[in-house]
Amino acid sequence: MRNIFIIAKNTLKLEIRDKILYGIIVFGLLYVFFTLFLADLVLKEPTMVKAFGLTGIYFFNAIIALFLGTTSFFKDVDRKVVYFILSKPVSRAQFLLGKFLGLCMVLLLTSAILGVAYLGVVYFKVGVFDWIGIAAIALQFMEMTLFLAFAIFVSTFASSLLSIVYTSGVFFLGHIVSQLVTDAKTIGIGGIRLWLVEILYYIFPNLEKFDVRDFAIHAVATPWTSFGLAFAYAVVYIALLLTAAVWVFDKKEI
Amino acid sequence: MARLNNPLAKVAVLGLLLLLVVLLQFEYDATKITLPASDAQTVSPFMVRIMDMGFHPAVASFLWATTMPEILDLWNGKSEYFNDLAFVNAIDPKLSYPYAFSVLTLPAVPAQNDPNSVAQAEAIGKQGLANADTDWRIPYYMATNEFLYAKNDQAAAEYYNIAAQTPGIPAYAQRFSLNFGIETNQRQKTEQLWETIKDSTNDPDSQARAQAYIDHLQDFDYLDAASAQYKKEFGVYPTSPDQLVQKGIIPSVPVDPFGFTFIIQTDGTSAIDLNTLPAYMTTSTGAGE
Repeated sequence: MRNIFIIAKNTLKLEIRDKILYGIIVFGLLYVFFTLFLADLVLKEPTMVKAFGLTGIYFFNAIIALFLGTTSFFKDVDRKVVYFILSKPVSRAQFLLGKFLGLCMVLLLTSAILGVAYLGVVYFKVGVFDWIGIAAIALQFMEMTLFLAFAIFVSTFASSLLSIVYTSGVFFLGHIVSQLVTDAKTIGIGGIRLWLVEILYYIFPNLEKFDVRDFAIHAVATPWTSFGLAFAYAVVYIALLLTAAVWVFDKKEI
Repeated sequence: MARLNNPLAKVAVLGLLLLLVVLLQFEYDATKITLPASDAQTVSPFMVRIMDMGFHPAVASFLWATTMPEILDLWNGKSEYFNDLAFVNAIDPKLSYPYAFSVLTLPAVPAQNDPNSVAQAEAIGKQGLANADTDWRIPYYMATNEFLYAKNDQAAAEYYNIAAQTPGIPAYAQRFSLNFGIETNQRQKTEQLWETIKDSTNDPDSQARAQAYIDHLQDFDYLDAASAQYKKEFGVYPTSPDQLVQKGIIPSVPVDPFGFTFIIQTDGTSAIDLNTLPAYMTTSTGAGE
C-alpha cells in the first residue's frame, strides 16, 4: 500500500509540472470566466449561466483526463522511469494503481480549481450558491476517473495515438449509447440490430448515469440512490479496467 | 540568416508580421466566395440530442442566444423565430426562459406584421407551463397578456393565481397577482369571476383557492361599508381598521386569507398595507396562502 501512495504522490508531482496541463487549465479558467460574457448575452438567466459553466468544466476536465490517461504511461516508458521503478520491490499492479491514483489526484485538483471558478461566476452573476452544481461536478469527476482507468488500460497494449482514438471513441459511445437504445426502440428497430445495440449498452462504459447536469441546471431533485449507483458503477468498472490492465501489463515484456 | 539582436528590431519584425496577418485577413474577407448558408432546420433536434452527449441545456442555451434577436425580424415580416424557438424547445423543453421571453415579447409585434401574435404567445406559454421548469414569469406574463390584449379577465385571474403559487415569485409580483382586480370599480366583476372559477371545478383545492380570493375581495367590501358607517356616525373616516372595532362598528378586523394587513386610506376606502407584507412573501416561497 505504501508503494502505491509513493508512486501516486510522485505521479502527482510529475504531472503538475507539465506545462501542457497548465495550458489546458488556463484555457478552462478562461472559458469559465468567458461565461461572464455569455451570461450577459442570455440576460443573466440562471439556468443558462449554469449550463455554460458546467459544460465548460466537463469539457476541459475530459481533455485533461484524456491527456493524462493516454500520455502518462508512455512518458514513464520513454523516460525509462518504469524500468527503474520495477527494478525495486514494486509489483506491476502497485505501479499501475499508483499511477491511477496519482492521476486521479491531478484530476481532483483541476476539478476543484475549475469548480471554484464556476461557483464564483454563478454567485457573481446570479447571486446564488450552486449547491447542486457541486454534486454535478462530483459526478463528473467520477466519470473522469472511469475515463482515466480506460485510458490506462488501453495504454498497456496500444500505442499513444491509438489510445487517444480508442478512449475518445468509448467516451463518445458511452454518452450516446443510452439514447441509441431508446431511439432504436422508438423507431421500431428490433431483432439482431437491437440486440447488438443492447450489448453495447450493457458492456461499454455507460457514462450517461454520471450526467446530472440537466438535473443540476433545472434544479430537479435527484435521488441519493442515483448518486450511489453511479458511484458504485464507477468503482466496479474502474476495478474491472485496472485488473485487466494489470493482467495485460504483467504479460508485457519490458 | 542574420540574428536579430536589437530588441526594437525584433518588435518591429513581429509587428510587421502581425500587420501582414491582418492584411491577409482583410484580403481574404474581400475575395472570399460565400456559399449559401445551410438551413439550420435541415438538422433535426432529434439528431442534435443524440450527438450532444447530454449537453442539452448548454446546446439549447447557445442556440437560444442566437434565436432571441430573431424576434426583431418579426417586425419585418420574417418568421424564422418560431421555427428556431421550436428547435430550442425540442432540444431542452425544460429551459423556461425562451417561453417566458416569447410570452412577454410577442404581443408587442404589430398586428399588421403578425395578426396572431397574442394567440401564439398564449400557445407558447401553455407549452411552457406544461414542459418547462417552474418559472413564475410564464403564467405572470400570460395573465398580463390576457388582461391587456385578449381582454379575458377570467383567464388573467387564473394565470395570476398560478403565478402567485409558483415558487420563487418575487414579493412585488406575488402581491400584484393576489390583488388582481381589487379596485373598487373592478371588485364585483372579479368576485363574480372567482365564483365562476369555483363553480367550474370539482377539485377541492381549486375551490378553496377560489373561495380565498372571494373572501379577500369581500373583506374590502366589508371594511369599505364599515368605514362609510363610521363617517356617518362620526363625521370623519377612520384612520385604521382598529378604530372600527374600538367604536363598535365591526366586532373584529377580518383576517385576510392571503395574510395581508388592511389599512383605511384617507378617502375611506380599504387597501392592503404595502409596508407590512405577509411573512411568506419575504421568504419568497410563492405559496400565497
